[in-house]
Amino acid sequence: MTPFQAALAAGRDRYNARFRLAKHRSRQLDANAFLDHLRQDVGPAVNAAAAQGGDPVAVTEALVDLAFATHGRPPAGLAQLLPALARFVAAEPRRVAVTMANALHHLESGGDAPSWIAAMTAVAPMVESTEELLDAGGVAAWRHGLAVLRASALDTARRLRPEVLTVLLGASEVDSSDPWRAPGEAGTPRLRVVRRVGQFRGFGGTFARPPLVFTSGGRWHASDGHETWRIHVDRFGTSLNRVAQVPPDASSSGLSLSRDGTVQFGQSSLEVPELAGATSWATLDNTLAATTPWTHAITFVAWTP
Amino acid sequence: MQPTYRHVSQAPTLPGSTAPQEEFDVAALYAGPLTDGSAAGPAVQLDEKLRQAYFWIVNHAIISPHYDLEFAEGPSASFQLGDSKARLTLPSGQSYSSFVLVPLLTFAVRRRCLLVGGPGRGKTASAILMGVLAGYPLRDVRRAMQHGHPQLTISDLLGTPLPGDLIKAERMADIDVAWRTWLGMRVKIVDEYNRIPTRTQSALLTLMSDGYAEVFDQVYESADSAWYLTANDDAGGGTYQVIEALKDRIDVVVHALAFNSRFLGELQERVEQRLRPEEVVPPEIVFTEVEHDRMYAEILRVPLPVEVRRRLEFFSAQFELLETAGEQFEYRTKDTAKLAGVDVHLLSASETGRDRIADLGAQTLGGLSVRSLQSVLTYAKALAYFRGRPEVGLDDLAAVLPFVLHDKLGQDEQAPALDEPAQRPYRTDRVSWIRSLFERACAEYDRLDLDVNDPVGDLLAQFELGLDTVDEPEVEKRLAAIESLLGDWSRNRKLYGHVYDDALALKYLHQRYVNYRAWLRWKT
Repeated sequence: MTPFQAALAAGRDRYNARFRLAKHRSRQLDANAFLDHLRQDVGPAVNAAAAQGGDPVAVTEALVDLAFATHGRPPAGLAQLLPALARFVAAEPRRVAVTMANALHHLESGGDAPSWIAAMTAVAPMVESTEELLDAGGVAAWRHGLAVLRASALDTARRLRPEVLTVLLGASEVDSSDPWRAPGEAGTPRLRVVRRVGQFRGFGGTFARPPLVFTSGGRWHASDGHETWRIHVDRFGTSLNRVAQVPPDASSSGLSLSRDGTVQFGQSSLEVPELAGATSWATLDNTLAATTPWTHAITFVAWTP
Repeated sequence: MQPTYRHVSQAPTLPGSTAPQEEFDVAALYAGPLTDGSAAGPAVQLDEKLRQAYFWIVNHAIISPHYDLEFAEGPSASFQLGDSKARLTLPSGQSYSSFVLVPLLTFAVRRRCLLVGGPGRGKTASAILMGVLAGYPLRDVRRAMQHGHPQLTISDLLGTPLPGDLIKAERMADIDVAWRTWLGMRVKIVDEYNRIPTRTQSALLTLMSDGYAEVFDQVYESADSAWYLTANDDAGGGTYQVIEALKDRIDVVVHALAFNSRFLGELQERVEQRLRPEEVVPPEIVFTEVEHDRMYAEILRVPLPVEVRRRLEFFSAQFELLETAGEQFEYRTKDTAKLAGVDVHLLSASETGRDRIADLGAQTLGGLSVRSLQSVLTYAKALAYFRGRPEVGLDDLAAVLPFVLHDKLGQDEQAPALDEPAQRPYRTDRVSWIRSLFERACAEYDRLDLDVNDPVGDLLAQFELGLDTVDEPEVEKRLAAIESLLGDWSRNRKLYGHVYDDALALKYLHQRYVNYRAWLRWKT
């Protein structure tokens, strides 16, 4: 009998009662599917944690709670991730299981969850505490698509050891000055299109009409006339959060856009024909963003390697 | 993520009461939608926690699909059904079930709640849930519940003297008492309190009102508690008559409403699946003792605006006056008649001059006690707190009044106003009756334009400023103003309850100024 099976047997009546309660509230909860989930996903995680010195009863309790909370359908990849983090699950089963499930939930809607899981699996043997694991997870989530985390992830990265940071980002230190430059990346800067953000709402995007772009409080914003969004965008990802109306800043960097779609920065220029006749453009540091009447996407052009 | 039985409504339960989070921190990567139940998570406001507790109870624990505490935010649709034109309102604001909310507010302010209704309506289950919300294990709550029965003795209720001490002790003080554990709990439940013998009821009264128990000269000081008493018959029936003093200590009365047959399926599932909601109360909605104390302190700090308080003053002034009960002005009250053992209705019927249909005071057999007004204020604050309001609103006050005054405002069932076809149901529907009394009092308050034109209020406010710089000519002027006002009233106004209270207030002011004038003359 595995540690997981022993723990389930010890709490058999209680777990059965709890299943009845969960079944009462959600008729689509299927007993066989739930048992499969316990057998295939929860069991290996409990056994792995027990092998690392964890209390199988406490770990089982935490993971079965999670299974009930997600109705046997946890975020994809959690079953793969938890055994890889067995040392931390053994130490703090409930906290680690719930935080990893929440992180995967956020990554499912805007990030690259499989790459994040791979990064966490790679870094797990190197980190020493749950706190350090969670810090590494935050930085990895930014690296794999959650641009909204950029500012706080950069702060967190400075707390991590260089070898951990190297596994996560490929460089032992971070530079926050250029959002389009990968950590440790060298090269000569030039003007280039770095990102297109946004789509027509009818096709699953954000904007009901072609938006206008502007900056407010030193951050990117866009409005389609009905609503306003804050845009988080960098080399690794994009996200748009709806906000209240905000006043626009005056453009302040040296980038400019002419009517024919030429982006100018000092002596350098870049012709971007799709930006001819732009309806709005704004600049922030080394980046220019522009919109046109013919697309719901915002085009970002940056002076970067 | 699908809801489960342990699911607690996500904050904010009152959308719009908290600002949306605009920034996303690394820590937020790990926050929500799941929680690990640890205290290290973001601190939940206690009013939000109270709302989450409410919604958990109505969604998962007590089948009470009634929204009788109605709140409007804009126009509400209403429909008249049947020959009796029964009005069904669809409230436009978040509304609540009194059977769940009133006991929950009682828990928050640690008062005394009577749950009435037929057997098997969930009265005891509701009370037990409150015990679990206070953090007590279910087994302890069940064991601590006192079941009223005709053989219940004071020792059964409070504690037993130790047998050894009874034999050896030479003085009463030497007898140790094994106090019952329920006395120290923050939630106290007395099931079927109307089946407790009268003598034991007296012991219960001391515990409820004064917070201590006494057996064999030994005294046990009990902590502030939320009390839940249940009775199958709100008229105080049962094996023993409930003593008036005990009934008077009850702050609020709430009805267990009838079961809605459309929810039988829910009941069937619970039976089949052996569900017991009280066994799975989520830890997120359990209040520690510190939180309980803090919540009560926060509730007491909710401001009550003067405009709202004035309406309560005006309402409460309606009921005590009984012109024919006495000769001296101060004794013309229903209390005087009751103390003399005279039927208030008979005396009231002999009154002439006032419109007994319009006069709200003609519908009651007594006035409001100070204790009941204290309860009104406390529950109004608690409801405003629960609703996330910055101060008590008139709607909060109107909502709690019927439950607090349910057993406090004795109805004169033979009052002529209750013969009016529209008001006949008030003989049986006490909650609607009190609600209508308050609405009519507010309408009269508006008609008299007292928010704008309140000469008695102005005189009282002037007096509140102090007398330090007031000289004798000014005192004379104020005395003349009081006498002039009373002179006007004596010519033009009938004596209604609020006029009676105002006249007594003017007499008070007059007396204070007369005394002050005497002191000024002595000084000079």
